Amino acid sequence: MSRLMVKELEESILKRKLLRWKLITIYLSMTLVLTVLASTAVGPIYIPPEKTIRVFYEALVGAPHLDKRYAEIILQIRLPRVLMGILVGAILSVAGAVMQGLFRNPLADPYVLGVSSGASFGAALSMTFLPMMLGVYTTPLAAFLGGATAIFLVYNIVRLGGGFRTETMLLAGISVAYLFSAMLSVVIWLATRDSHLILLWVMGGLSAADWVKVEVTAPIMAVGIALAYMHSRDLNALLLGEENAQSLGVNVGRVEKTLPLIISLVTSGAVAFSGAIGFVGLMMPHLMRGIVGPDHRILIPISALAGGIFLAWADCLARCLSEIPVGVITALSGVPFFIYLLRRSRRI
Amino acid sequence: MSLRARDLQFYYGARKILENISLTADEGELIGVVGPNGSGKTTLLKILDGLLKPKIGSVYLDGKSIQEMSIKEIARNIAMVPQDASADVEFTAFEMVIMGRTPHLGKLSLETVEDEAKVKRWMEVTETLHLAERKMSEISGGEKQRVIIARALAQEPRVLLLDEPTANLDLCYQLQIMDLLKRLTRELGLIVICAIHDLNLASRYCDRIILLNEGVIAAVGKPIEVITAENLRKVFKVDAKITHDPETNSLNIIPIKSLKEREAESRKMICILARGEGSK
Repeated sequence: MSRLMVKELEESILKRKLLRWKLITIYLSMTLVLTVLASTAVGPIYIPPEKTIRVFYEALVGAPHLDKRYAEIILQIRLPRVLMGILVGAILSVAGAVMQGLFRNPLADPYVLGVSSGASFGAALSMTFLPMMLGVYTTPLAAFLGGATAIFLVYNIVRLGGGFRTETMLLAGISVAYLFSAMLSVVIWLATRDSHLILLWVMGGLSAADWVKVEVTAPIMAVGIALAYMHSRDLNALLLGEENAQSLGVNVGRVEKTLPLIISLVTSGAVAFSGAIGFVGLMMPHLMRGIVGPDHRILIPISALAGGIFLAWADCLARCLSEIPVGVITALSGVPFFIYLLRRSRRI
Repeated sequence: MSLRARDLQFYYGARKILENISLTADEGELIGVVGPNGSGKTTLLKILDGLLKPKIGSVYLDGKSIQEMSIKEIARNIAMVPQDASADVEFTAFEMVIMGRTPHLGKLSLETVEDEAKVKRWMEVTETLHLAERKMSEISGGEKQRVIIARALAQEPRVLLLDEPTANLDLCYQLQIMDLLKRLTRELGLIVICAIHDLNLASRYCDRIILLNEGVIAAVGKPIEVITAENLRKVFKVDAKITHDPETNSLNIIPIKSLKEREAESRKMICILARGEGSK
């Protein structure tokens, strides 16, 4: 590093901060690429890493595959699944980060506060009773409507029921989650024909991932994260409370209406095809906040990266453990984390 | 430049909080808002900042109603140092102050070196620069208060509203903050409106004082006209002796007795008298 740069860094808090942001983003992006390569190598059939890299290389340059069987497994079965894991992990983490900012509480997450339940109900309803009117988008749309209903219920119960205290928020979330779980049970009970499939989906898994689902989920993730990122400065101000935020020029009324919509939009993208995978959105933003602090302009992108990495590896583990749903693994790691958070200080 | 409020009325549900409030503040004025707890000081400041909408009346900045301005535009002109700054967050003091630049920045634009220079200058003025990289949750109440004032100044407002800015401060910082506010009005021509509990401090520093009582203006004018024994008896329900200290050009308010106490005493007296008569 040149002497001039060192001097600039010493003088400018802002430049030091930006450099730190860049370094951690680059580091996590590289880890993500490695995750794609390494986790596609893992599965019931062992494929050596050099073969994996070869298949990727052939696919990239458009050369014919030397080993058709390996190429088939990697490109058609494992890669879409790994990518789906990354997309869903990123989505859930961003949803969690935004919800924690909106509720000013580190315990908020789409699963804990019932958004996933609402989205699951919507998705299950569309799978059983609605014809696929809008093609592959029917389920995500229904999930979005369900999730949006859930978060508006929770948010307004919290607002009217005495403000953003942890207890109020958790109770509102739990009751709304119960409501939608009950309605989901009714749907499963009525859907005699596909009930097994729906049950499997509800548990949360990525085993049914394919390229079509990746192509539907990817734009939802991209749009959702971009929209969330555009509100990161507003979220920072909201951490100081509604009136402080408005004093700083944030249109609080509007932001508090749009953010729940963004949260349900991204969550629906995750839930529609992979069910309710819990606690990713709780853990990742919290871990990242410990590294970079509460500024959402870095918290949102690196939560997305970390969530993608985490869920890809969690799914890898699920694949190796005779295909248990990945939601079981995230819950096993997430519940102790949740209890730990509940015990320590409650501020963001 | 001027800030005007005309005939403000504010209700909380059916309860009337403010009634017929009209006020004018001109460039370079330091105005104190005093009054007992619950007299509507905080509500008035929130209305002036556009955080609460009055039922009747409006606030005008240079003749333009703030209800017609966007929230961002208000924030570029009026800054608020609230009583409860919710400052117990994990942001560093520097991050907190640079948030004052929010109304001047676009949604996606990053802060520039100029923003940083401004922030550092205001932190220097409020003597918080040495705290720049400490977390807000780890510094003392008085330090937090000064950081929040620096944040409000980083907004580069023309009107600065403060709700009890000296409430949690040591004596030395109380004077320092009031000196700073005075300087801001004199050197930058800011309008500073400040709710304040300490009548001594208010009378010493403010150009004008607004005395609120149960949501109406009981008196307004120069400190010496407003802080009178009669007004204190009427509004604060205390007997007080007021002297003028020529050295600091301030009023000294020495509370003697609360009227409630006196009432209780006179009741006791009546009681004794009555008993005395009975025993005769």
